[in-house]
Amino acid sequence: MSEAPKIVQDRLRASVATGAHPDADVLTAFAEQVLSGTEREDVVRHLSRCADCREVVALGLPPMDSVAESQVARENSAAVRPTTNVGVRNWFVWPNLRWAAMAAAVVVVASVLAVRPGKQNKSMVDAVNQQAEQAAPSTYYANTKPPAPLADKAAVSAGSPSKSDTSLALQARKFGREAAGARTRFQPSLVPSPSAADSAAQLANDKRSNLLEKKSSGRFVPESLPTVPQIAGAPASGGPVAKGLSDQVIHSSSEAVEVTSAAVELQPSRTDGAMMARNEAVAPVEKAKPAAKEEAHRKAQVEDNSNYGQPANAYSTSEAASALKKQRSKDLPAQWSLARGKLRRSVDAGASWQIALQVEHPLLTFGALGSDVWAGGQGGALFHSTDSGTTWTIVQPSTKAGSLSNDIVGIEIHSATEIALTTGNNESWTTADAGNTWDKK
Amino acid sequence: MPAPAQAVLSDEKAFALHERCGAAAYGLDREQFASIVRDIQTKYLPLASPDEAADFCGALRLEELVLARGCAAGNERAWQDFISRYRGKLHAMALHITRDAAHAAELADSLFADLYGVSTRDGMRRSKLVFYTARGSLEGWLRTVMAQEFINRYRKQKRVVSLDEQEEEGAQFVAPNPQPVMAADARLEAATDEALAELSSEDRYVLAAYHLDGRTLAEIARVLGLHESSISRRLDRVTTTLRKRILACLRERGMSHAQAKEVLETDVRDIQLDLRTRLAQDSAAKTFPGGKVSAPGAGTDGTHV
Repeated sequence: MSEAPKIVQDRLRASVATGAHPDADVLTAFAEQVLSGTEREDVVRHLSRCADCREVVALGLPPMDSVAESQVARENSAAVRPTTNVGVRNWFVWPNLRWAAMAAAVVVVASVLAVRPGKQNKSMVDAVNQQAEQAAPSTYYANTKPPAPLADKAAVSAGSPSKSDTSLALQARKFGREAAGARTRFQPSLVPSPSAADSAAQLANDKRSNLLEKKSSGRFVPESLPTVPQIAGAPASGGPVAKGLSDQVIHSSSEAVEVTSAAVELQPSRTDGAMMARNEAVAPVEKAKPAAKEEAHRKAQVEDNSNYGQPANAYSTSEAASALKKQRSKDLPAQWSLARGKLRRSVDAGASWQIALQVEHPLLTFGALGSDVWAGGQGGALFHSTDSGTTWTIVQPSTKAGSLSNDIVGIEIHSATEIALTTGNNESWTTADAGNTWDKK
Repeated sequence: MPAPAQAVLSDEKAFALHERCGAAAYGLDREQFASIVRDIQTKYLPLASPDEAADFCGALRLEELVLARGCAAGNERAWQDFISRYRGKLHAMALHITRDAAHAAELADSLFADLYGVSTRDGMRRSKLVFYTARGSLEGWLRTVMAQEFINRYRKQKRVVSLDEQEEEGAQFVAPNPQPVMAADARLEAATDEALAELSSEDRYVLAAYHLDGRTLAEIARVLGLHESSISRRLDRVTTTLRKRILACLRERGMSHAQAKEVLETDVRDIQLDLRTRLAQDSAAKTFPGGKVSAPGAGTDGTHV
């Protein structure tokens, strides 16, 4: 508060009101805000020059607690009085307001949890698109871990029917090598059997199945990965099976739909506008259709998929996989998917999905191991749940040099305590104590 | 009793108000009530049209008015109601004002005696409640009257210190200040007066209440019926504006900008000047005449703005 010069105070004090003091009635009416117009102006003018009347008015103010009491009494009398709007007034009495206060407290806590530093107001779609351009390559490295033979053959088979350039196929092969065997790091409980490579080799012989396998990549849904017998079995039935699968993708497995959608949104460097489709229902249909149909779309998809060489795990949507999923759902109480920046959870083997984690900025990746779930997003937002997503804690990875503020695009869970994060700028953050301390590479 | 020819509040409306507020319960008949209401209207709104007069009288706190006037007239039921409603509150009010239990009891008892009318004039018991004109609440009026009484009695008594107390405080040993009291620059005073005169009454009130009386923003806000934050903003704005205006007025009186700034910032007045001003205010006559003012209902005008 700026201080008035001393001379101002002196001159204020020196000026004295002329005329009679307002009587007690007028001062009371003034203090009770009853006066208006010139009458009020006269009183204010007098008060501005009369210290005694100012003091009378100030002393005559009721204490704050009595003001509150009188308000309560007024509310009570209003509640007793039969009026037409009693119902409306009752909303504002204390027994109701305390619930409102609790709700407000919950909202405040939730907003504190939701608000993240860094990224500012962007529309979600734009943010995802931008994020995808930066994040997808490393997302790929972090999350797509097919066995090497499968990746190699997948790349070759993906390249041939669509006449995509060989560099893409080579990239896919390279990615596959780098990621070879890494699936076990994601889901130790879902380690493929030793016959995985052979089975995958058979799988790679079927182009359409290969397309399907890659397009329906479940890299964000580790739980949906089928065990090897299903991988080997599904392609054996060839294209018709894939065709049949595509329907099931739509109708019976919302999980696969959502996962595919998430993958589409995160795929970078699209040259074909058709591939930017975000229709969750259409995308998997296109991906799962046989090669003979919609050649143009499929070619473009093949090109895209050859970029990523994603593992075959979409067979969770087959009948066999569905049965297996039901069987597995007993062992795995929760399944996870990431769509439109929200982490969703299914506890009924994918029949229904609920949003388990939704924050202000879109989530970009997640990893789950048993009841341990980690989810990362823009601006270094990292969330951890140890109870299958019932409760979440915000984790802020930091070292002495600084804290993680870049987008988290990959999460690898090696064990309950060993976690590795990949960021949009290719930083690697690891922890060996469930997130208490971190190392940055 | 027929209404006077010049009365703007018709009998019909006055009697309707009489019925509405239940004045008969406190022994006030229709004519007495109409007379009281007309006196109040004439006092505060002498030039009102009949409709304005009816609106004005309808806005008065008539239930509390008839209670007060019933008490003043010695109606037993009115006193029972008054005591049950306000007796306890009087002590709470006094404690709030004096912040001292002993003084509070004394002040409350003194006011209650005035309200009952122990002092007599011409052999008649006069109750202070005849001064209540129902512009505000009766409780608020009681509080205001008590504050006036407190200022008249106790605040000034505090400054009358016995010789013994002076001795205890060492006041008699205080040497006179060797430095003469320096008067402020006449041009600065004139410039400040000019700048202050340009302020609105409310701005000036905020300034005086905050800087002279030491009132809090919340207290000022409650008096003016505004939010505390608006008072804070207004205080900042007024202070800034005032400083600029004083500087401008000083420049108009022939000072350079630097000179004006130096004169304004240099504090040439010491505490003695404040004391002198304060002592001069203390020597003024009794601020509030209290019972010396006749009630409007008694036929004579009270002082008002």
